[in-house]
Amino acid sequence: MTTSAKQGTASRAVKLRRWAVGLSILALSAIGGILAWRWVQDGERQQALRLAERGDFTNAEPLLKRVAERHAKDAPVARALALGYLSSDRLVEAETYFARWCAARPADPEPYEMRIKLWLRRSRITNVVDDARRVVELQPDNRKLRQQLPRWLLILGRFQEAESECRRFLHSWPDDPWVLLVQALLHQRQGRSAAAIPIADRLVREYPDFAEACVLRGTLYVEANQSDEAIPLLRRATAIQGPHRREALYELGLALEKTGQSREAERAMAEARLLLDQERFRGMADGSEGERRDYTIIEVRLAEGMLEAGQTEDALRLLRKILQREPDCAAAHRLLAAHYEKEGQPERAAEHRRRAGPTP
Amino acid sequence: MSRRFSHRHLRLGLASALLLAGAGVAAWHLLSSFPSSTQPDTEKAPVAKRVAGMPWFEDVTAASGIDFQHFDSTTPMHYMQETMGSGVAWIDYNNDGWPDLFCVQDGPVRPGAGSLPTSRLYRNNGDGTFTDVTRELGLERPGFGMGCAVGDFDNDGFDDLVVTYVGAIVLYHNEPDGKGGRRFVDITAKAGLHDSHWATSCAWGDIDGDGFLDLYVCNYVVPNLDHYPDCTDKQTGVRGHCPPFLFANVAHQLYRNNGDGTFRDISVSSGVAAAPAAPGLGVLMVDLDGDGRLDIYVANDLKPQYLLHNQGGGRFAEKGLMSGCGLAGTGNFIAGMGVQAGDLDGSGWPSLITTNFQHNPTIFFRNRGNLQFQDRSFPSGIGGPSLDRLGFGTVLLDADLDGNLDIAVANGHVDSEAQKKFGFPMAQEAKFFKGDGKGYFQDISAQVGSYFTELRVGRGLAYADFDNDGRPDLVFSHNAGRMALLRNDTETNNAWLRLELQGDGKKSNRNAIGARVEIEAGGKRQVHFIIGGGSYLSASERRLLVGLGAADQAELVTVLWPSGRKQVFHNLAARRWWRLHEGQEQGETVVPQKPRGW
Repeated sequence: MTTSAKQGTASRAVKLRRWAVGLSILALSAIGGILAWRWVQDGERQQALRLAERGDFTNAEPLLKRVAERHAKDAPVARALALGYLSSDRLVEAETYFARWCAARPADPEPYEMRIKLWLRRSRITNVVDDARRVVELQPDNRKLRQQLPRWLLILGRFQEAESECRRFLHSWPDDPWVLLVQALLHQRQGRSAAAIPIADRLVREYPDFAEACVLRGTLYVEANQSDEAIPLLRRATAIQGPHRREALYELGLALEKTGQSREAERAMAEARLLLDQERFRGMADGSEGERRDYTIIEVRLAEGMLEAGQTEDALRLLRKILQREPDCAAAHRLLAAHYEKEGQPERAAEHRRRAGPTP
Repeated sequence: MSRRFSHRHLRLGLASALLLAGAGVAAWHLLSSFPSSTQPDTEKAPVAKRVAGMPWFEDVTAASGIDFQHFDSTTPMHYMQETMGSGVAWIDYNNDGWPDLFCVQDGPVRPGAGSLPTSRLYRNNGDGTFTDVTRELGLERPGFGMGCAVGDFDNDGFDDLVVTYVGAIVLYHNEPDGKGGRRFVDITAKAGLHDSHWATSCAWGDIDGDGFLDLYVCNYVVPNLDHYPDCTDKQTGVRGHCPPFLFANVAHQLYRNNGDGTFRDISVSSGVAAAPAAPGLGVLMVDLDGDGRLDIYVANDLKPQYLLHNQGGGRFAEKGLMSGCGLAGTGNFIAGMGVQAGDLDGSGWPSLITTNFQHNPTIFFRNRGNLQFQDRSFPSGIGGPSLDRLGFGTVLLDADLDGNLDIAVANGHVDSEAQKKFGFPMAQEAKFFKGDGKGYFQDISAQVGSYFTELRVGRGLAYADFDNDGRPDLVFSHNAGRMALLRNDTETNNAWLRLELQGDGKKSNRNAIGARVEIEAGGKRQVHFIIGGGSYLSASERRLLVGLGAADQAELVTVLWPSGRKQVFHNLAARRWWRLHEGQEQGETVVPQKPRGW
């Protein structure tokens, strides 16, 4: 090897060494930078989670979302976002993060149990059942969910599954009145009244104020053309406040009609209809049926229902409120005209008819 | 040198490893920072397989030449009209024995300039194909078409047609075209018919027993397009379909046929207008309590259903709530869409079927006699499987000719954003329930043909044996979609009997709407009714197609005509078309005319 060749080799080695050192520094800098970046981000994540934990979702949300964008499988972040959106009534956004939370923690019952609240708010009972089944699978001693599962299956019309869940539950807790009620309802829905009756009888006997049981027993009497027996039970149920009242009033109306008490029957039916309208109005007001800007027509409907149900004062108060807000509301004037006509006040009726304008 | 080179290699290797590690860390970090994409679940519809003896329907739309496409009236405003669909009717307009098909068309909610779509009539060629004859028959008319009803209102022996629109009804008289054919002439104004509201389903029936068909027209809601409510969903921020209770309602209309080609609006004098105004979507006429008078049952959307009990003398009393068929069994509203009546439990009484909204069952009101009804939706087996559908049109037919009525239902959500808002698709599978004749039904939708596993926005539904092979076929209309003609290809040896009733045209209307037919064959008794209206915006054929099972004849056929006359026909051979004339002792067998070109 000549001297010049030796020098050339040495200079290449030096160059290579320099390159290697340079690249190593670069790589180390990259790693260091990334670690520092991650450290900063981790701080942001911790801060976001702390804010969410304190209930300050407004400030936590942007931070959480930034973290979630980077780490889709970060379960605590997905949890914070899911629960935050759920409590803020932003259900569509909550659904996305519940999905992530569940995917990140498939063996943890908490995300599935919490997601049931979301599905219930969105009236997605099929999803409710799926998640309830998952929780029960992970937590076989979850009594609360096992008690509710048969009722949800009943709502979905999945009777065989509901019956099997009832049997399983009653094996552990044989005297649970709610599950016994569902079992009786399942018999009734499938045309097995003979099997439903003893259960309903037992519930009415042991829990006289169990309104839902009274409604079921009353309905079974109505179905068997034994309206006289149905009426006292249904009256008892209507005297108790709760969501069962509408059905109780409807069945009471049918029973009263069959026993020739038509006027009372009409009154019960009118009240049942009013409750239906009120349920609908509430549904709209809480946003479950979308955001409506114009409630007037619904309010007039409610007033109409009140008049039919004999709640005249309430109806007139509501109509006055509507007319204060919208003095030209034709529907309200038409209703008032009809009311005063019936009440034998033709002048007032005529005035409202005039203000209502031509009938559509 | 080798040492030097090995050192160099070592250093290079280390540097490369560090570099690769750094790049790897960076790449992993960057990749893990991207949101993970989720693969949407795609669910393939199960492929149905034909089983001998089980009902089977083949979609023959393409081969039939029926190319009707329902107009897509969608706008960002989500007007209610856009989602209601239109109906379909079977009408043998030329009396050749081959049912022809009338398809109702809608249009833009706010029509602008330019050509507008129109309803279509397809003539049945008798060989499985159809030809569009709309123009030559004079049926081209733009407008937002909704429903239709078929009936021979002037008893001249040819079926006439009434079509409802948003803001109008049109009566077409079927008359000779002077060249040996037929044509339809709009005689609405001359007949004195007028409905400026949103008319939907309508039904023909002789309500006063004068031998002429009267007309009931449902009105839906009164939307104001200039002040249309903004039904934006709070959760999704998506504007959507408004519920009917946000709009005012008007009374429905009943027109009495004067017998001279004109009609008189008797909505007020008949008591129909006294019923609380409600958004009507489906209507039928049948004698529900056996008193010899046609009653009217109306499917109202989220208001109590009407049972307009015929009091005689052209008067009606609304008894829906007190009869137990105004609300669902739980006292809840029914979003009544389509409606049907038939003896579904072997009692001899016409029970009622009403289709309903998603999450609510299709309702089966069992007729217990004495105008008392019981909600048997769930015990019957219909309720459960219908909860995840939004039902519209419905028909009763004996698809496998076993002597028991089955039920078909068209389904489809009303909200194009249903998936986003509620988690349900707008397009949904139709349903088919096989009946046992005792009031119990089995959902066999997955086994009766591929159409029943396809996602469609179903609306209208009507049946007719369009190919006269003794098996009832189906036609479905779809919102903003094509018509679907389903040929019944059930493999069965069961026998059938086709009964065409012709009233005397004097005391009974010529269509015999309101007749009750009792058939005894092979030790089994069946009761059928010639009803007016039914389904959703649609009209099925009136000829009865009765499944006889293994029997080779009907020993007794007892007809109670609308006039009150009772007639018994003996030993009617199976697999024949029998025309029974009121007052004539013997039935006449009919062989459909051969189509042109045969």
